[in-house]
Amino acid sequence: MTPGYTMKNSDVAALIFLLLIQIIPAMAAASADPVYIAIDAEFGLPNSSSAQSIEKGVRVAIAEINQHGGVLNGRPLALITTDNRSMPARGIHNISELSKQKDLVAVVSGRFSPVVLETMPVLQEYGIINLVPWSSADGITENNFEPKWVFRLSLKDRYAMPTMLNHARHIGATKVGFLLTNTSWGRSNENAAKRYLDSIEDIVSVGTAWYNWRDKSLIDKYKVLQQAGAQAIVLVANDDEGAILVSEIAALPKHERLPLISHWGVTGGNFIGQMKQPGDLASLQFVVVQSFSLFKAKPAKVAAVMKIAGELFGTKGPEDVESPVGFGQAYDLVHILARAIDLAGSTERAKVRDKMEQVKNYDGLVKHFAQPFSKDNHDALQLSDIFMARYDTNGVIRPLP
Amino acid sequence: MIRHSLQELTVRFVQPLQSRLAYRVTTAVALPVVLFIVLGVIAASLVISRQISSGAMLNYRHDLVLRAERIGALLGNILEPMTTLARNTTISNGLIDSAGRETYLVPLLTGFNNVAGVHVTIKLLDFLGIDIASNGDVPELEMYRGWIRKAIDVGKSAAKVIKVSGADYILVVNVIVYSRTHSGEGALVFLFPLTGTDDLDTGSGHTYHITYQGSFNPFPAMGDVPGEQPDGFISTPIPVPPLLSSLKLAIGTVPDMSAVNRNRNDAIALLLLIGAGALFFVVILAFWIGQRLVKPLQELAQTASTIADNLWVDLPPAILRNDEVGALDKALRDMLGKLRDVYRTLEQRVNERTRELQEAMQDAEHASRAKSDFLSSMSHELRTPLNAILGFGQLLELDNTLNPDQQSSVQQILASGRHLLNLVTQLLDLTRIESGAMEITLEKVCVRDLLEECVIMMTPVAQHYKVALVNESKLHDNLYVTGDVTRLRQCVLNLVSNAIKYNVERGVVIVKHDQGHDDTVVISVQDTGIGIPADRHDNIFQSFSRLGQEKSAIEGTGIGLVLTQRILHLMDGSVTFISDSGKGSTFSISLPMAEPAETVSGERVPGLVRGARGARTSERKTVLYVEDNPANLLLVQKILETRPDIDLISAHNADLGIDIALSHQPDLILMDIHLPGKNGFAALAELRNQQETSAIPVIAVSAAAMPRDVKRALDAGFNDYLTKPLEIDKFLGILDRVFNSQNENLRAG
Repeated sequence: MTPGYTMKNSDVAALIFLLLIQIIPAMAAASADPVYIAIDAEFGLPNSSSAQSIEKGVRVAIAEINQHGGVLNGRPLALITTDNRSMPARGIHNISELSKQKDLVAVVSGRFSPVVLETMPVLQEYGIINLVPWSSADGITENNFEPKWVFRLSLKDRYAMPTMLNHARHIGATKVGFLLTNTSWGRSNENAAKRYLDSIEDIVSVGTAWYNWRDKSLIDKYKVLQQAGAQAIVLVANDDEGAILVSEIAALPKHERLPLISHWGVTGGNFIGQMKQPGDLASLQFVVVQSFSLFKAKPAKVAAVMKIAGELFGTKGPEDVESPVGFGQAYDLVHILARAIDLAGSTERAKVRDKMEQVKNYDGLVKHFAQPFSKDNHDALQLSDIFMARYDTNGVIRPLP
Repeated sequence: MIRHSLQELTVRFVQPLQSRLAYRVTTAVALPVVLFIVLGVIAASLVISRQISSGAMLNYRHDLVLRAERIGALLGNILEPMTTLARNTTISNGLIDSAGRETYLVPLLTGFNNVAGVHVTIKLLDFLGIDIASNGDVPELEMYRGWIRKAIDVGKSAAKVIKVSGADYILVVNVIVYSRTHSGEGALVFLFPLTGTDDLDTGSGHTYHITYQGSFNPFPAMGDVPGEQPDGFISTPIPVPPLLSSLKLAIGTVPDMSAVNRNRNDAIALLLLIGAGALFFVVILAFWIGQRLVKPLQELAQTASTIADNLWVDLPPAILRNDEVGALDKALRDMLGKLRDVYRTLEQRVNERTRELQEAMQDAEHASRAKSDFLSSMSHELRTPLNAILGFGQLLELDNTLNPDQQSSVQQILASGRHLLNLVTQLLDLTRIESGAMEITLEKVCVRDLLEECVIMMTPVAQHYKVALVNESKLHDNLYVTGDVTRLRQCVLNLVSNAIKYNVERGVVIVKHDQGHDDTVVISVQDTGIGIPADRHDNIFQSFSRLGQEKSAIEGTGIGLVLTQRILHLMDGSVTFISDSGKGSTFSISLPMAEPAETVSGERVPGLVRGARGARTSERKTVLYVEDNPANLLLVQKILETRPDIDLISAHNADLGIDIALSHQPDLILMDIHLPGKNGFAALAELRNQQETSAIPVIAVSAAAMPRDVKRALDAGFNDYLTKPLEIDKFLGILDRVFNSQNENLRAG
């Protein structure tokens, strides 16, 4: 590399990809043939930390597993990452590339439901286990594929929407407006909200506004909902659009600033950093739904994980973990996978997939799972696992009391 | 017809040009203009050629610019909604919203099917260039997936012209760049026909080509550079909307220079035609000017020429021009006027003089004719009584009864009478010569015979004058001359007569002939006489010049030498003399020499010599004399009284004569021509017609002594011709000759 040459994201991704392909098999060859896990996520998306957080969780888990002799009596787990930059097409492309990898057992997906919703059928077709640590669209697991190769340990909209609406009720907002991303994820939440609102009577929707990917402003849609009488806005957005909206609301007079009850997409990146003013978020009520928090996990588990993370990444503590849901949930998924591999006694993915449904009594970081997946349930979390959180003044996500 | 026209053309155009002046004027007038026109036509052709070419090129360029702007505007119209569409996040949202593609994206794209009248294929592609949604499929697009993908990869929108079913289409790749990644995550692709954007092939009939040159800098080798342009290709860039900023579109064409050339050729042909017309006009004009300048000059020349032939010819109308030609014409007319005046004066004087001369001539002629007539009539009238006098004088002379005194008187009468007769005869000859009535019959004459004859004839006279007459011609070669023998004899006799008469007693006269200069024969008569005084030489050949002998006893008429000279002149001869007073004279006759004749002419008239008097016939002969004049009849009677062998019978008119001739059968008839009633010719004709008289010789007797009278008579059938007054010797000689001939015929018979 010559001075003055600025590496682009694509370059970085390609470099990483090359390094992984070249180095990891070499390392494995030193002991035994590695068993591959891949992450296809939004590594190249600036201001996004979700993919990196997932990778850290995966790497900590792999490190723990390999420290304990790997899988299948000594085969190390190895990681391959591919960058989809949050674009479904890239994800599909990456999967088709990864499918050629020998001894690849599973692909860990990233934050973006549209990507996962499109890569999942491809993985299904290839017969590759799809571990979903973040994407919440209901359709990821609620579909007609049989058998399902996807295994999610994450929030799902079916659980997120009641939690957020319950929070609305909690803050006294009976009329809410929905501002949704115009994607399958947005529609998943719309369905979830509708389903939940139909079951209760105290909260009503004043309307749903849709924003498109790459919209530069959301305030018009916000105002439409506000004028429709919304007392709170349920926001289904990612960090960039969320930041735009927050800054735009913060620019409004105080009485026009409605509480934002946000889905957790905003936590996938440098949400606060993308706002116009650092204090924009503090000028309004903002809560975000979460399914995991290092601050709620068992301290012993957290300490052990943080120790490895500290060794691997120099992570100083739970506060230093960005996008913590990805970190914790990916960590647990890898452990579950490792168990399934051992249960299968082979890297034959069909067997591993079957064993995924049979792993039991896994005491994970997120929680203790009696049986995270079964034939009929490929969602490891439940509604009760879901809670609301907030950003503290340091930008750390902390569960609401 | 054509030939006639050609001649007319030649006469009308070529001949005037052959006039050097007209040619020069025509040339002088036409040449500069012709040069000017030729150079002008050449220059104008060049200018027009260039103007038309550059004008056509300007038109083409202007047309191209207009079309380029129109196409650019149309592209703008098409691409404006495209741009709007590309900015619509609903579209790009499809990149991350698979479910939405079917629900709203396809209908949206399909709604944009037709933009500004152009079918636009719209596709939403992912980062790999793979269709996410579209409003239609274009198979040819598959070839450009790689190109599109690279555009997406570098995150730059691009456009290019591609071939779809052989037609040019504009492919616009509007790359959807994700602002967070700054990378192309997909693209909205528009594909629409380029050729459908304008009626490129209508109107002008020219074929336009839209060329394109991609400015797709990162990939210059992607085939965006247009192929080699044909020769003469001109183009102009098409202003493109921002969405096509990467595409350099140009419209171009190969101007149809054949039409331009045709126009140019037409223009030049028209120019040449005009030039040729101008040339023709100039030449005609120059010709006309030349003609106009020269024609009056030619007319003047013609006029002058005509005047030279005929001073009084009518002049053509005056050339009323206020220039040199007009002045020349006027001068010519003035000159002619003066010339005519002079001529008239001259003619008048000449006429006057001529009239005077004619009058004088007429007077002279009248006088001369009067003199001639007088002399002629006088001589004639004188001869008749003289005949009688001489006749009877001769009869008296023969009368033996006369005493010597009477005999002397008779001799005096006869001498005077003969002199008078000679004078009258000579006068008559002179008169004839002067009046041109003298007739000369040229023939070959034997000089020796002639001279001998003359000497014989003159010997009695010489004896009378006691002069010795010597003929020396016999000593010389015989020579011949061309001349009238009778007249020449007359001349020689005259000279011999003079030589004898003007000689001294016992003098000598020598006659001789010799060859002279220049084929002439000289007959000379030399005497030993008194000679001619030198002071009289000049007028020796004048009438009535007798050398002072007028009062002498010498008999002479004074006109002999004049007559001789005149007669010789008529025969192309001459007479000269050498004389010293007191020593005698030599007169020489010079005549043209003739070739010798085969027969000697002298033998034709031997009778005169040989048949001299005394020759008689033995038989008696009867002579009938038809004569109305008793004096003449008496004379003949007297003469024939001396011839007892001849009986004379007479008749006083023709009819009586014819009857006597029939009844008496005379041996000879003497017939007077001028008879009362029937004349001699008529009588002869009757005699000849009568068998009984047809053979009788008839001799004409007449006072008319002119040769033509003689000839006329002989032609009419007269056997001979005797002139009055009868010369007795001659008369008797003829009688003897006739009778001798009859006797010989009888003897022979």
